Amino acid sequence: MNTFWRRFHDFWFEPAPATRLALLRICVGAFVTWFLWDNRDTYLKVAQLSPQLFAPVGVVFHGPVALDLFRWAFDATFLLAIVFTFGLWHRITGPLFAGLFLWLVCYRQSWSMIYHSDNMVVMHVIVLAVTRAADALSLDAFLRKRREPGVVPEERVGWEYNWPVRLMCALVVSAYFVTAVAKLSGPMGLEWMTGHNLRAQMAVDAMRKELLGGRPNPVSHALYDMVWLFSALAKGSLCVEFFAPLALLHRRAGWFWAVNTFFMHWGILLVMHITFHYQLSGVMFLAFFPVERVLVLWHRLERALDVQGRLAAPVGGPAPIGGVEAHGAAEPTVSRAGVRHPVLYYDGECGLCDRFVQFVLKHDPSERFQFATLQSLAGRQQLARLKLSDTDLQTMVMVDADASYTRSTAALRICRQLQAPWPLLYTLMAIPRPVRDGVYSFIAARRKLWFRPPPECPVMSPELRRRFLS
Amino acid sequence: MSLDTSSGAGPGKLLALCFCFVLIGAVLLPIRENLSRRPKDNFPLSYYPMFSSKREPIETFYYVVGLDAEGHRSQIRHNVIGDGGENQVRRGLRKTINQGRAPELAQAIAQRVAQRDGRRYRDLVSVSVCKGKYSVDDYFHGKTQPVSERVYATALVDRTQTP
Repeated sequence: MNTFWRRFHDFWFEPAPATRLALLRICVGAFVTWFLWDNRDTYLKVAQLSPQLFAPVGVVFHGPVALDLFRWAFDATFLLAIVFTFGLWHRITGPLFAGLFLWLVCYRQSWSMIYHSDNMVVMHVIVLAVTRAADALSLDAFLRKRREPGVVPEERVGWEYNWPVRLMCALVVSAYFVTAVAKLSGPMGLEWMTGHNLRAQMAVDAMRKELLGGRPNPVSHALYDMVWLFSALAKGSLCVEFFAPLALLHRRAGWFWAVNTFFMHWGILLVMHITFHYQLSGVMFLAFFPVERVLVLWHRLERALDVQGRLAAPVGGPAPIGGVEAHGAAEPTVSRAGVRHPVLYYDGECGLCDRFVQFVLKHDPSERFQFATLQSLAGRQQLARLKLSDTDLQTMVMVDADASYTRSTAALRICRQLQAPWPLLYTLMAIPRPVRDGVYSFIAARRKLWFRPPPECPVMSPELRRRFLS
Repeated sequence: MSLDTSSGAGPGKLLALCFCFVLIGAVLLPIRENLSRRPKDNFPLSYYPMFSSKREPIETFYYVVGLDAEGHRSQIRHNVIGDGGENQVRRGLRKTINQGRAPELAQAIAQRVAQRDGRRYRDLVSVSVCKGKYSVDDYFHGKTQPVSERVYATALVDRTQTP
């Protein structure tokens, strides 16, 4: 018995990266956000149906509520879905979101029609909302990193990140197992496998739709006489459902089952025009896969984009701040505390650049950035290094670590190092560089027309002046 | 049960296990409804009754038909009958008929039809709320008329009141 429990323990609490659970939170949260956005009208219309149709289910133990109250609840749930996706104050907002979402979906099902396909997304939200799904890849993690600079939440690994994923898988396979039991315990019993009932279900469903004014589904009509096909589909689907729990026993078995089930739902859509959104999106099956590997691909993409944005100019080694001012060095500087400072070179006669520098100063509380004008000696040297004209100042230059960046790449990399929420803008790096730089150049060409330079320069404190290299 | 308590995480794991058992148990619990004499479906914990029901050669359907001046039939679309999608409308229609409220539903649908000027509805002169029995096999072999039909309520489409 002890061996069994030990093996169970090792399986259920096997350490996993925090990013796995976090990515599931993001995907499920994004799905719910889209789902609520897409179904807002339907939910509000259903909430106005005749009260005589109301038959409460789930956590709804009351009668119909006022439409205004329902609308408020819906919009609050929608906002919480966004907060949940971004992982902000998850310990509070997570359970609050799960509770409201559960109530909302139950309320929608309480009008004489239960949409069974919505149940698993609710269960998954409950799991993710009460577990540590926002320890990484979240605003919570970002805020924590700023409070404790040494912490890297994305590298955390622990048992607390795996069991919720196992639970999500277990809930999925349990639900399918229940459907298999329903088929076998009904009046058909094992006869269900002959496919006659599946064929009849498909036919009745098609007839219902047609009798309610829907267009005839040509696939249903074409397949109706293929009894052998329904026999095969019935056996296949029953196997997928009845043996679903086996998908928990091995990683590859889980993948195999998830892929099969995913395509089974697409088959149902094709034949019966029944849309199970959560299943068809594939989000329901993500827990079966090591989704954190996507981050590896993302880092590769990021590196590729970095290479695109980085210019070939070699940059020298760091120099102390004092030396920068005296010798006009163009490299990222090192403070007396040993911290490397990125340098932002900007057009000193441009109103937009001036506003951007003020913006960076405002949102850079750790005083990371230093500044120099492109017209200064250091700036001209930097332009020469980058083989850019020192008269056509159409781009800012950011020198950080061992590389220089220009145009939109420079702007976005600067935003990445500012305080929240500005680092979120860095996601725009996913846009191809020619597109980003096209927008940048369009604005840069008109910047002097749109943004006049300030008539006079503010008096800077000695601390502030030290951050300006020219 | 031997849980790893070396890292001080034992109670946490125990709590996690309890949570897992409760949730998985809750999803599996509706299986018992299959054995119940009066099973009751629920959400999000369902026993999926649609899979256990046996389909018959003759099935009953609830729908609304429109008739033009020459007596030609056409099916009224679910979004004219009510809100919430096909299945929601179908269930609502059945429940409304069973509650004896078919006449008021027919009246409401007739008003909605009167407000529509699309080709599908502009020639309709009346709508009827119906329950019909259809042979599934015949239907899929081209015989799309009902075996029997009961009209619960009919309302005239009055376009003179339409703004």
